[in-house]
Amino acid sequence: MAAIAGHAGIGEAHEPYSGIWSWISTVDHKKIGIMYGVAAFCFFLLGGVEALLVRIQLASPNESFLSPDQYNAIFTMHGTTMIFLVVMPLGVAFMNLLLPLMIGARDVAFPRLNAFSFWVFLLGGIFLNISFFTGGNIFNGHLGAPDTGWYGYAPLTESAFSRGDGVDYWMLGIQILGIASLAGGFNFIVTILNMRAPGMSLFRMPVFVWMSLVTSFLLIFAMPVLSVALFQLTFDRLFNANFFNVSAGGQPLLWQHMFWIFGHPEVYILILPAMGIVSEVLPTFSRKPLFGYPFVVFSGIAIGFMSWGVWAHHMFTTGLGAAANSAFGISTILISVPTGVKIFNWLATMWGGKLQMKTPLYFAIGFIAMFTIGGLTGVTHSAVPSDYQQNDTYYIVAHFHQVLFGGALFGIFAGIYYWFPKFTGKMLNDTLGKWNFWVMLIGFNLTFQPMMVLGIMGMPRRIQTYPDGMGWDFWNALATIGAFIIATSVLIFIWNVIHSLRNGEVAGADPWDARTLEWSIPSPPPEHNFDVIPVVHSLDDWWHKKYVEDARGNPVRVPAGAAVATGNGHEGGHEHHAIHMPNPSFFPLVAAIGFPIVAFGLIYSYAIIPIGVIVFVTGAFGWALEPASGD
Amino acid sequence: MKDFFENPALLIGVPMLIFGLAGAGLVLAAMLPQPQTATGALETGRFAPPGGEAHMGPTPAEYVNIGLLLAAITAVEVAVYYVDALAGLLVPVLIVLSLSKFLLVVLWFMHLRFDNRLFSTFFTGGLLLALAVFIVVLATLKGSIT
Amino acid sequence: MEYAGPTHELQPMETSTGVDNRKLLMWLFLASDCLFFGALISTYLLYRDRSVVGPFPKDLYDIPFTSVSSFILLMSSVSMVLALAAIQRGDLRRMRVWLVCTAMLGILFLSGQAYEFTEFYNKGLSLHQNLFGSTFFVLTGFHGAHVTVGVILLLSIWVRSMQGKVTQNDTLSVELMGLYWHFVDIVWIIIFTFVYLLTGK
Repeated sequence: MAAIAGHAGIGEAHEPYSGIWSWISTVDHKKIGIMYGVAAFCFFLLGGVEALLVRIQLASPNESFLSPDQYNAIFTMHGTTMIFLVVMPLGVAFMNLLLPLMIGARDVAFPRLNAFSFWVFLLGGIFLNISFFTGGNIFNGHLGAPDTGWYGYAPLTESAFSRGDGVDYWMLGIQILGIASLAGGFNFIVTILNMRAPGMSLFRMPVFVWMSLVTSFLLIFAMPVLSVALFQLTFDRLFNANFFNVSAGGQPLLWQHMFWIFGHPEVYILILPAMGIVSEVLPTFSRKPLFGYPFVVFSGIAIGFMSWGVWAHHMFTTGLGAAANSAFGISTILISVPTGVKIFNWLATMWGGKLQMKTPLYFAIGFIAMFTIGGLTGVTHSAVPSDYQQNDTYYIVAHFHQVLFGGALFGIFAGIYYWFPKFTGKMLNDTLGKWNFWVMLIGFNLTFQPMMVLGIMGMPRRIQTYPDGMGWDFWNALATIGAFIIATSVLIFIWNVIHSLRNGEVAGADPWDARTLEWSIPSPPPEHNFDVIPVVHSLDDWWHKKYVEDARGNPVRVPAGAAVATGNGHEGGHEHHAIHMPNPSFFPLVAAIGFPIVAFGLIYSYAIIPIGVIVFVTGAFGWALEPASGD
Repeated sequence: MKDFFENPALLIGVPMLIFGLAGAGLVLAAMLPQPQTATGALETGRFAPPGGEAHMGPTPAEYVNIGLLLAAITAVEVAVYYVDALAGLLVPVLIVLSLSKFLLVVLWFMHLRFDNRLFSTFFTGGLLLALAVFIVVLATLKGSIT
Repeated sequence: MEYAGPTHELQPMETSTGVDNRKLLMWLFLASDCLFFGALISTYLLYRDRSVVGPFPKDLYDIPFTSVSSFILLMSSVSMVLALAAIQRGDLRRMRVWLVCTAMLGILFLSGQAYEFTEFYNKGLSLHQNLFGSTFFVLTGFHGAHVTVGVILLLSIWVRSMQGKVTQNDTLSVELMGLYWHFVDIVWIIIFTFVYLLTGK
């Protein structure tokens, strides 16, 4: 133990920069995770304001709050922002924060690649949003942002039909974000497979780690397909190629195929991390192990595989033919099976447990309920004739918000309330948290359940306004009220964070009496995470170090002190002389800056491109040649 | 169901997708914990590289021979291309020949034959996934456009 | 059971699977790149007889010329693998020779591609001319970009080696370089057959 005290100071000695520079140069997975989370939350507020603008415009018939052009730009940016800049990076934020801690590692496998991934994401997101200011004066109400929907269907995105720079920003911005996702995906797979603590076999990993592994595989296989589609669009728009040019024989349907080959795995990229979070929260607050751990893991893997065989259910109305429609309809029905398995496992986890009614559990239960509704409405699309009726109506809008907000975001909020104490050392206020939950749940249902009704009544998606007398007025007004209630709940959350950071109850290392390794170290964790790399003996290892079962199977607390003795025992017999942590580095940021410069060059002047390339190459070579860690 | 059997591309494509997904399953099969035989050792989920730690793989002379073989196959490919009598067999012959070149490079030059099983399963997974997905894309697109 | 604590990319350490982090990363990248080229090649095949106006593949393809450049790229793979064999037995001088040889063959291949692109362009094929032009230039162009990156990496390793910064301990760097280079080669094997030979007639 003397040795441990000896290197307690190493963390500080390794931090040559302070203040903001320590964040800009950081390669620490925890700091990068926090930056990912904060950046994504800022984009969440932006996307939320866009949603409110859309809802104000649709609140009553013949509304003219937004012009049709403005409306198109706003709903496109809302979708693009929420998917690429909010839910994906929030999932990545949790992976960054938690993966190394959960598997007992000191950092991810490639810390600088991790920093690079974050900076590329941040710059790509800012680049995408700069598009608002192009194409005239934004203060005269002229929005230069892309206005073709988040799916950017060809040939609408071709230069003949979208003349401004908006779509250029969209295709290049998403291309840049794709680089960030790929870098993250590779890094997390290597981390999970290679950096596990001794004894942490694959089937002793927490479910969140498993879901992150599946998500990362989906990322590295789905992103290249989107990349190619975006490159083809780029060549069409900037160099007059013909990929989606109908008059030259091009096939716009090719875009739809490529987009949804990416797009459907993407749906699971968004939801699987949230499923992982819920699978961690429920056992902790039910004070029971996860029911059917292997089933939850295998159904996650099955979802990962099957997500590759369902993309054409986004295209039933494009005339694929009866055979293809049937095949994809059946595969879509099948993919609901592993999802159902998970839902039953979560319910069975809570069944008979001593439920601790804290905010994270509220959000986790909210996730199960809302996601189930979302999943079931999804199954109704898998029946092809039914989908013909629902396609392009508000029913679809209601469905995917039900899974992405009711599902992914509720799960993410559960995660924020659960792990906030671990990374800040302060508890979030539980009363405010419950207010946050109930207001959000009510607002959410007021917003999206009316959309189900509207969809069934035949209200189409993507319309700027609608005439009087369609019977849609009441439901639309209700949805708009609901949207503002959601906004209120987000304000409660922000207040909770500010309040708790200032006067919150100090959290100990393990405030929830939880099960996984991250709770075995102090809150917030030291830079090197673990003084001694833990040796893992079972699933939920930390729990088993705290509790033993009595004759009737009830957990009995191991006397204080014993946990530490077994938890940090030197069973491995390894002697640590010093902990080498990676050096901070500015080069990942330098390399990342090259991408938006090249993108600006492609849009405005090719003369700028070499500057971007030089910046990137400088960053890359600096990165390759600097020492990764010093002593 | 009728156009399923009339469209040969679909007939091949859909089973290929299933096959591909199963193939991608190999990726995960490889990651499942191996049975541990060592007594008393901690289960670490470690993958034993086949053939131990010693440097394995061909000698330089073998590399050169494989290179010559690759060159010869390319020559045959070009020759087949110019022989009119083989025009009907061009597609299957060329596919087999290029596949054999592909395998020679991957298995010997990239050492997949000798290296850890993890690499070959990941690479095969990506390859089969690409093959399966895009065969279905081509099949459905050929089916739905004229 | 030994388990080293430090976690960063340059220091060799024992990993949970027993394989090196960087090598695993490279193989994952190559698996992911399969989807990238899969999409590009599929687009070419989808559009191969859909061009509305000429020139068409059979008007332009010069199979003997492309066969020679394919041969050059195959041979560069041989020299690459010989460079790896050289550093594995500690023969740094021969490794440098083979690395330069590989880079030169790569540059020769790229020159051939540049010549081919110019030739096609002069005969009326452009990105804009027809679907053949769009798909051909983008597919082979992205392959060429991969080769270019490979040449730059090869020359970087060579320069570092001339400075004495590459020793037998860096075998893995050369091995990873080789994996990337051979992958670019097998993509060309597919392109040569499916893009040139099968659609050239």
